[in-house]
Amino acid sequence: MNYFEFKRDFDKKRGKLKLPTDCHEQMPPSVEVASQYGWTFEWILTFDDHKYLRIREHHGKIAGLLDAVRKSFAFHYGPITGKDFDGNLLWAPTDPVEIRIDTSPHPAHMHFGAPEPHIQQESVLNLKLETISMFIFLKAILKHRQSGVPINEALRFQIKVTP
Amino acid sequence: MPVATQTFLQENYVTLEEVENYIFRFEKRYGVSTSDYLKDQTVRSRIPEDDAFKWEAYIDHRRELQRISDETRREYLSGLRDSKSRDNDPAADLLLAA
Repeated sequence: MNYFEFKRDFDKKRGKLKLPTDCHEQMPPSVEVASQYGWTFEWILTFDDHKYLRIREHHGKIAGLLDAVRKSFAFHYGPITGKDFDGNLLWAPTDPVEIRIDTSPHPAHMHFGAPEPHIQQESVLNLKLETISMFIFLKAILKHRQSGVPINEALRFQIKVTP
Repeated sequence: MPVATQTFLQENYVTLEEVENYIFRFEKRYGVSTSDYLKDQTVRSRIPEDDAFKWEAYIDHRRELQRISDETRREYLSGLRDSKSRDNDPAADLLLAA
């Protein structure tokens, strides 16, 4: 997928999305574009109950091909722990988290209910972490907030408990 | 809601110079070169995830912008070579005269 395809797809999905009234764009969907084969996306939504959702994706060129792939991403939902002087959200790896799926470090893993542990793909059933899309994540969080459905049910995954 | 030609995205087209600058800021902040950051897993694990994400994205952007810059230079030079060889080609002069 190149940048123009990403943009078209994003605009189409964002156009269909209705954000609830308690949801605000702390940072509108923003993108730093190096070329049609390299861009970094970020979007931060805050909620009136002091929670926030942050989406980040970096796409880069596939070597030898005129095409790009999502190379890293971080989808985070959890309580706001602080703001700096300019009102930007502060974040630390030890912050409480409701759910975070990210690739830092690779491979994609999940933090669920707490910053630790890093839950690896083999312990997550019915959800492919590496390929999850931002809108699947976002819609699941909105559903969870609206209906009270637990996040794991909204995203339809289970955590495998190892004895 | 934006009309058809608009977008929800706030776009910022970055230049090689800007990207180099961002990378330099990370190197300065953490007192480590980008190559050491990429090579040394212990250095890398000390960097907060947030900054690691950005740093690596800028490294990737730099690679891409350098690739484009090299490609542009190559095409320009090959264009120069082509026009030079056309200049020295009597057949090209005849063609021009015709």
